[in-house]
Amino acid sequence: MKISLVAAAAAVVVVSLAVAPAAQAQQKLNPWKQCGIGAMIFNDNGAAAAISNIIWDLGTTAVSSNISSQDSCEGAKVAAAQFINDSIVNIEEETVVGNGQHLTAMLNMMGCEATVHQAIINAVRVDLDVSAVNNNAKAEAYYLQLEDKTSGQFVAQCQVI
Amino acid sequence: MWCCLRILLLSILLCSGFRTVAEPVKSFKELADEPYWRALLHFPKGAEHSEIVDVGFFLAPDGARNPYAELRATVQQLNAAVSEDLNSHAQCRFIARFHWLKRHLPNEFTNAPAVSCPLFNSWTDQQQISSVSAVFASGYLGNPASFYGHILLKLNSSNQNKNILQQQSLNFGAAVPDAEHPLVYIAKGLFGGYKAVFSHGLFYKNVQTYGEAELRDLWEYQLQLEPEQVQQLVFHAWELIGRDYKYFFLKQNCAYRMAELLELVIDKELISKRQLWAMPVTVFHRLSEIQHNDTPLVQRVIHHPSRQQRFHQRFLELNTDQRNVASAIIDAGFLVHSDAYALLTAKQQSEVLEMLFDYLEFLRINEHALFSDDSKQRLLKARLALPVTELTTSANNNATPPHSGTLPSMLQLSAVQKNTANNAVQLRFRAAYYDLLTADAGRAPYSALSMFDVTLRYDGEVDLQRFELLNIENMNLGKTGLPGDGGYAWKINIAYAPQHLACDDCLAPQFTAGLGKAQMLADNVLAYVLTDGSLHSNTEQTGMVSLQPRLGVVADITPWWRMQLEAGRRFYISGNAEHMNWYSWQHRFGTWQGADIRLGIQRKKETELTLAYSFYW
Repeated sequence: MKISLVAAAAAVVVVSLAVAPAAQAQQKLNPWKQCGIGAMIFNDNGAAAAISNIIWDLGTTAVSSNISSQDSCEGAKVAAAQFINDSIVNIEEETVVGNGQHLTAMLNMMGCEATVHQAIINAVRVDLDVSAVNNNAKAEAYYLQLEDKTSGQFVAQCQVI
Repeated sequence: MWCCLRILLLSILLCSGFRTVAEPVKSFKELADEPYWRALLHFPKGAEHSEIVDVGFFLAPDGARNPYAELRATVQQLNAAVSEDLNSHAQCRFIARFHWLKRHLPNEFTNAPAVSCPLFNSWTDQQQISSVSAVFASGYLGNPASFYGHILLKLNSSNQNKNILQQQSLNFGAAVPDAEHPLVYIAKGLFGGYKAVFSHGLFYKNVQTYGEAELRDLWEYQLQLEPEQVQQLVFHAWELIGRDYKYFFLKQNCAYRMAELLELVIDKELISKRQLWAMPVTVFHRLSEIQHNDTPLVQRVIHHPSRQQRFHQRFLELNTDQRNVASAIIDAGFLVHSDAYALLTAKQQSEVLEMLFDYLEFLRINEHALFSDDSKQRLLKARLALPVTELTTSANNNATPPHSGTLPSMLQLSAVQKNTANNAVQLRFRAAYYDLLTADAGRAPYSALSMFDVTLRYDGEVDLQRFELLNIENMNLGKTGLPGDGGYAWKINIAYAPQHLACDDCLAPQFTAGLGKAQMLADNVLAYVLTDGSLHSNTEQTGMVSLQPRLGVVADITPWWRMQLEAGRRFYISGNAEHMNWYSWQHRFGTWQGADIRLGIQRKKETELTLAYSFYW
């Protein structure tokens, strides 16, 4: 039984690898599903509260590069996604208010011009769903909604260099 | 375009090594003995071994003990051919060394390869870091390692498209395994059992950790450094990231290492290397005293209030109607529908809801039963229904910055008059930090936190009068009267102290823990009631357990005069000693950072009147 499950899983992987390039070209990156965001240390305030003098980013090269890289996990958008995941409580509060430092940082990371920040926030506010309980799920939904705006209506003003 | 131009200009500057005046070329041997080279390798003054215990930091096999060999190896590696991985080239790993050596040994680098360093450039936002801030995270009584606050550096980019949360920060801390036993934690922390490293991350992570999760205020001290000094500091910080040090809780801690890094460019001592302990707040006291090019080194102090501070401030800014509405919303389980709420203007409604956001998050952190995700959702939905407004800010934030408080270490000389025995002279030394009479600047109000507090008395002969290893007293005050704001007052004390004042030889080791409640009676008057339970040696038939209910008042009569009146009764539960009534009335005069005068009277079987002069540093 176990062997057949492994074989089935391997077959799925092989098939998905075979079709991956064509499919991914059509898809937007979801950093939660493809880069492991959410499994990191700042997944909620409770975890962060237990850590003092916290050490992060050690030995990694994951410095936000400001260089868009749709097919990797080191691009500016992934950094923005990480920021959203880490700060979702503040981002959600600032979004319902309509402004704040976290929103500015987030939109900067998404490469959006300051002149359209307020318009993007207003657009996000219209569709904002605050009902999710889990912060990771909330952050993921928020990012996808934001990404929709920045790569759609505001694509001309939100270009990661 | 400007960015590229900037990099080009910086590259030219780097190649020239800031050589504005011709300096005599020194030999390798002479350079290896230069204090600056030894500082770059982290050799303490006079030491024969670097404090960095990471072999990856040294290019010579014996570099950790031999600055000369390390210099030769560094020159060789800086001239080495470039491999595919640019970032691993010595010019990218040891930028401060390269910079300094090129200045002093220009002829050694005429054929050195030109190496660009993508990772470093990315970290420095394409070398746009234009200023440095030292940041103080206020003390946190939830973790022994954080009692005394924390220091980190913030590296500020001139890039207009980055706000404060996106700036780089540099931290130094011990690598402590999860779920470490507290006793192991203390022992290893004291005796160098942990490795520690410099780490980096965007500043928002500090905001999340300290401001949001640990409810600690951040105080940013923007330093006015020359561009070359900023660059020098950034270059060396880059070399240090991820390198292993041994961590010592008392001395070679975050304050010591950050001071060491700043001293590299400030050229003034920020932490005494002779003193056996180092405290973060000392660095800020020192920074605020320093004049740099005839102007204060600290250009500006910015307060980044914690979630708790924002909650308090926003509540205090509400008018009475708004406060009543807030209370009604809380009582209704955070349902936001009431006639009183509807009567407020949209702006007033927003202010109430935004205060409640902070309140709920404050409850969440404290794991209070009133918090629920549903409550937060209701508040968010209610606020979403209101128009966009400017986020209310704590305009009236009058918190006092930590550097304006009393200095942390104390030496005190007292004259003691006794009722029935010889008068005496006392000398008291306290390594750190403050007591209930100390002014509250930069710390939890009405609290005490002291460590290694020893008192010697001379009344014909010298005796140890008292030794307190640790004393913590936290009144845990709320400011709003809302449920969950403020909690139990508590105390922990470990001491070798007399049972009362009438005996010459009744010192007893004792461990005391107290619990109670404190309340502000007026703006400047605090009242409290606590019951202390003590375990101690059986000295003078006291038995080993005693209980001590006590009642006290702390009042700021003027800004320069605080008094504490306290009375209680001590019950010796398991001994034959007579139970004892006692009182104490203490005064502190003066708000100077370096001194105060104290006058007190206390009775514990014997009455003592004490006049003391305290000197702080």
